[in-house]
Amino acid sequence: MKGDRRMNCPVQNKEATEILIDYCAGTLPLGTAAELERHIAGCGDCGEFVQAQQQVWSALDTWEAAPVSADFDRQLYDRIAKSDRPSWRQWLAGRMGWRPALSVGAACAAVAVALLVNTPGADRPLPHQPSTPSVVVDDSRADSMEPEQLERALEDLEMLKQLSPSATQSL
Amino acid sequence: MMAVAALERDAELMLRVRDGDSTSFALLLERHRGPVIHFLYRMVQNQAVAEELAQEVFLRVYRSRSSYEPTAKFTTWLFRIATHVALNAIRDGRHEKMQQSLTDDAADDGVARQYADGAPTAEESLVRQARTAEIRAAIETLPANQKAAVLMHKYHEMEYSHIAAALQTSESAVKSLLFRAYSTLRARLAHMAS
Repeated sequence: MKGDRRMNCPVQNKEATEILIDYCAGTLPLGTAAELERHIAGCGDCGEFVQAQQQVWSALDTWEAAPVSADFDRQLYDRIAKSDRPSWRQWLAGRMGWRPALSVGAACAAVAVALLVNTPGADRPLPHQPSTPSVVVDDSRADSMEPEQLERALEDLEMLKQLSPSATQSL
Repeated sequence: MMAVAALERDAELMLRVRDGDSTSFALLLERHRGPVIHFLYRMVQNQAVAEELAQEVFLRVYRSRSSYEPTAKFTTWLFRIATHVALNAIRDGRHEKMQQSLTDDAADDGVARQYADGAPTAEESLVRQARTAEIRAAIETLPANQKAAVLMHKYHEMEYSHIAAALQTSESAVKSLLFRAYSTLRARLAHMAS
């Protein structure tokens, strides 16, 4: 191998120029480097190649990288924490198992309950009843309705939309 | 001998991460944060984008912890991910956005070095800035694969086989990439000899 390198000028052989590149990078074994140096001393082409390559090498050395931002790690750990947190879909799938029909069914039931509670018509007085008492009844219902209940109903509706758009359309 | 020890250490740390040890992940991050960001910085030539991409790289490392097997050198695996992320960023056009701030970044480099080197003259600073800008421009003209190969070879002293593994190509293809890349750079930077 070494003999071949000495016999054939690396510059004449495109594949063997790696030897010259390795020499400039300082990665050639000492013995091979010494042998190549002897060749370069008597070979103008190789000498020229090495000089040009060393110039490139020195030029690249002057290009320093900028320092890393101080909050790089914090940002990374934030992203990791976010990626570790399961989405509500994953959470739901984990809780209920991957049974979309069951999930949709549960969501439908929740929405039906929510609609029943929220539908104005459900509290509308019958035509023969006086209107005043019904207003009182309405107020008391509104007072007794908790904000969480309303929020939950809205969340259920949103969930249903995402799980099954066709189901919500049919509603 | 030291390289073997380092290889074992990285693989061992990653195996511990796989087993849920977050301290080992912090150690891996400490060891490889700099090289990965510097590689990406030279690939995309924008520090902010490089750091964003580096976060993506380490996030992918973290996410693949459960399937990690130490079949290759850890750094080779890491640079394969980094190269993939960088090439994708270049391909999807984030690179073009990066180029708009290339001049600003070059100016920043100059300012940073002015303090680090012990107050060179304004003229020296300008010459240095111009040289750096020229080197960056020369690197930028290389096709993405050639650029990645040169950066891994020059700045990270990676062997041909490791560069090949990172680029998912053969060793002979890497030699060919380097040959062409250095030819271009020799032609473009020859006048900087003095």
